Amino acid sequence: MSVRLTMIALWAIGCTASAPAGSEPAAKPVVKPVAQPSIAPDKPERQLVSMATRWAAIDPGERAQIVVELEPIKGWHIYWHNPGDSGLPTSFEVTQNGQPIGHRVRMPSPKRKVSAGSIVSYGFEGSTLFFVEPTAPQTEQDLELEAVWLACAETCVKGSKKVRIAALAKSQSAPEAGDLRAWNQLPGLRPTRWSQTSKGLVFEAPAGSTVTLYPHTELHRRLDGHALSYCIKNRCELPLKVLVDNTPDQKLWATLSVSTAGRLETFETDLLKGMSP
Amino acid sequence: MRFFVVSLSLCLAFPAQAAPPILAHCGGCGTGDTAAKSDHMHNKKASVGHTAPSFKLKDMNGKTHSLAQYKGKTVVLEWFNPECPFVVSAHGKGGVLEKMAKTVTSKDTVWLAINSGAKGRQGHSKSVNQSAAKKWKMNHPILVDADGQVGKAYGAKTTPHMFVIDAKGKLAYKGSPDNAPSGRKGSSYKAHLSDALTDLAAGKRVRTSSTSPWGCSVKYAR
Repeated sequence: MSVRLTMIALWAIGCTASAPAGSEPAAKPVVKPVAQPSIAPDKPERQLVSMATRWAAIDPGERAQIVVELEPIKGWHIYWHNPGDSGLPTSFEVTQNGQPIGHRVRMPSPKRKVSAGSIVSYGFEGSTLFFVEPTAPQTEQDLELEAVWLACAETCVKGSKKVRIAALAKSQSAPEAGDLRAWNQLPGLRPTRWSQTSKGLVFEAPAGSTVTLYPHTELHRRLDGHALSYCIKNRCELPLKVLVDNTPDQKLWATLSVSTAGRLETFETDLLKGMSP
Repeated sequence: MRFFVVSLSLCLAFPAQAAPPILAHCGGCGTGDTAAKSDHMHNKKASVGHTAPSFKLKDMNGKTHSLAQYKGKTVVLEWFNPECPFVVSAHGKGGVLEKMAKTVTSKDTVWLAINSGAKGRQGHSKSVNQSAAKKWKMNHPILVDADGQVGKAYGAKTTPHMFVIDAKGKLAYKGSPDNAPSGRKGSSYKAHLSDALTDLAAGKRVRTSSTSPWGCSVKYAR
């Protein structure tokens, strides 16, 4: 089997558990990688954060996939889609012929930082791959992708960069192994069972494991950004106030990392969907 | 990696921290020692619908301001760092805070900026604050909270983080000035702070009383 076919198969398998990093994860997977674009940055690289488009796939009528690498310089960081108590989400805008194109962005699970004043941040240091998936772009035309970030150390500096992704005919090239590995490590989508007790909302992973919870924006707001981690060993307990003011279609997303005997599983889950009385 | 190490060490450090002393300038923070036990407790105290933590702070000119002296008025607190790009943008031309303080300040409404930046950290120096106040034509005082105790009592996380206290001394709003941290006002734009002040002025309950703040982290003492 060729490398390309293997890669497609792996992507297809991985897609079944995929979810976006935005506030509304979707179960529907993506794309078969078919094209290798050329990238033409329209501005010189910024000093604090370098940006490179490593690979893109465009499948007619389907989602495309663009793999973007952002790398802040040493000592600086950029933010997850829920930046936490401060900062700004790293965001992307995709246009074609000047018109915005719907897309979702998938991010790896972040690192959590608690600064003086119990200020909680979620972000990334070093090279980080973001997977931007425009919906149904015209494959015969160029795409423009703009990344917007806030880079912070002691101070913060807003930055952005726009690149052009040329429409291409089909190509035999494939993503590098590192890209594929990063893609496979993206949080999947998984239902979890949370129990409501008199004290809180409880989730328990298998005994012996360690759970870390990264709240998405709405859950973070309801937690009021406390520096508490809410999870000890294999058990997470959230205060009942997170359930206040729920609407019938309310969703409370979180990313959970469960580490068991050196094996790490990361997935996104809607707390309300998995709740039991 | 460094990010993670710092995170881990801070995570481990926080639970073990000794409870800070009662705030000397925060007499109304709560009902006794429990009011200042931890940041977690502070967050509980500065919650919407409850009495706002009182304070007494000096402004850049050495004049003392206390929350108590403004009893009977609506008080807007703006956490401030003149070197934070979000604050620069918010106070600059077309920014959400460019004119708001002047617009809302009246015999019934007071606007106070509070700088909780520690000595040596970004935006702390008197000259930088005075220069910004002049540049942005700020007529309201900038209060100095270098030890960060008032900021922590309110749970101020960002600059600008906004708090509105009603005439009865209860916290009526906390959060962001609006929902456009990047300054781009799209079709879903919401002027949270302005809306809250409008509701209060009309004698109504603030409809959206808590929003997520955006901006730079407050530069508390490390």
